[in-house]
Amino acid sequence: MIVDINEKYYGSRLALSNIHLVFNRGESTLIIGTSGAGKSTLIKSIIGKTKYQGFIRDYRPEDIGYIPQFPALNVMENSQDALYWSALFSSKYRSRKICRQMAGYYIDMMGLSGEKDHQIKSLSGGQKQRVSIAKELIRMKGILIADEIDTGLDAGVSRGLIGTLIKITRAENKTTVIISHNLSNIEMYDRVVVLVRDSGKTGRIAYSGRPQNMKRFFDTDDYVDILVKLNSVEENGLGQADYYIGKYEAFRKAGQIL
Amino acid sequence: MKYIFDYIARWFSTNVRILLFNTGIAAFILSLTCFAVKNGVFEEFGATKACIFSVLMCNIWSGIFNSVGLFCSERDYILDDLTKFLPVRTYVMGNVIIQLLQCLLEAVMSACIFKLFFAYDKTGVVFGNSTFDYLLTFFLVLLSADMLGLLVGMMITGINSIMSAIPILLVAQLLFSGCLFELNDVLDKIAYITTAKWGFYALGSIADLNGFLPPGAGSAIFSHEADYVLYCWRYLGLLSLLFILLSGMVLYFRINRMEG
Repeated sequence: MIVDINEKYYGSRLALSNIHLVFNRGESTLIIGTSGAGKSTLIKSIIGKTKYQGFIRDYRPEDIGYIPQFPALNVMENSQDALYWSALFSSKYRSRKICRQMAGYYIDMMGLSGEKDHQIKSLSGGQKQRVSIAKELIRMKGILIADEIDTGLDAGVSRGLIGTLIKITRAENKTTVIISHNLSNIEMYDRVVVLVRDSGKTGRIAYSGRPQNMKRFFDTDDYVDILVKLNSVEENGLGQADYYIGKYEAFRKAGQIL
Repeated sequence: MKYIFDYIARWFSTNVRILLFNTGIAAFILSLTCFAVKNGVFEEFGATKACIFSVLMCNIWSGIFNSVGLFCSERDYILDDLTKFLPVRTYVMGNVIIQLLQCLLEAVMSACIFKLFFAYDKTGVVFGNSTFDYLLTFFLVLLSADMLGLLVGMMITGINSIMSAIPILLVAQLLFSGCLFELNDVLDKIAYITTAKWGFYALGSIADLNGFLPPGAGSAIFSHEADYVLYCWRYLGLLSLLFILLSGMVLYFRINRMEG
């Protein structure tokens, strides 16, 4: 999937500018960024919920599965039924028996076998998020967009959840894009995109590449320092967003792969 | 069609309690009302008119209460389902059928309570037995109010707004019924799209309110004739259809709305 968003306005405010990204099959991409950098706007553009100037190509809109930050589940159902209904409603060609089998398969895949008959309201936050992911996986979408799905989860649960999603991405050759504020799992991803707000308050890309190259690019030993450098002075940061936007643009124009 | 029945099966797998709770509340409110107004009913005009109006308002309240919070209560996951895989028409038609069953249950219950409290003339206007006339009127009133509740519930986003909308809807129905005061030309036109007007006319006709008045003093709006009752029922049915159609349209635009 190739994303080329030249400009995205909210009224007269330029929210995003010069967003050129490629999301490959079998790869997982983490999108991180400073507050108000346009992460959600970028996701809304990709899933077709907002207008923009530019184009997104090499994908089918119906092939996108969106996993929201807060699991959108009927908490009175059990996880087995939630997946069964999702499978049944998603394709008119599937029989009920096949849908039951698919639900069982994804329950096992997400490690929910022990809780499959429990009402969703009795599950933990991490387990609910696993059901939410499975609800998308069962719809057989090639592109998964996950919006801050590990917010509020402890570091261990978060790592397990993201690890499962990345494993499925590689095994099933999917394209996965994950927005997160959690930097502790950064090296698990295939690629990282850093979105920042420039001095004109417009969302721009400050980095897009392998996580292993990030520390060198930002001249730091700590991933958290990257965001400190990029945050504005008002936000107690170092206000270096414009510098790194320029540096990234220079790399991109020179054809250097990060 | 396959999806509609699957949706209904899914709804019943988790929400039977809601259906029973709504019916229980409706039975309680109606019993309380019937108990409060029972003196002189079907003996003199004023008491009978007041009773019919009170029972009508109970049914309208029950109908609106059935569905107005439905969409809001399941909004968190149903909007996601609607965006991804559940067709809007499946959701709307599924809910219409579920609410139809709910209204039928409540109408039967209302007719039973009404029969228990009041000794009305059993000769029917449309059917042979007036209990069936009352039953069908209660059903159409409940359904029409229910569909109005469904529409308003889909237009409003928060539970607080719904709490504010319910009294407004009820007051509008109360004022436009034509029971409390004579409506002028403009208000009478608006009243055409209210459940209260047609429900009140239908119930008043079935109860033969004119029969309690001296000859010639009766009103045409309570004409004790089968054609007139059918005319009122037809309007109640059309109102339900209108609200169903509008609900579908509101939901469709809500789901497919794109930010600027």
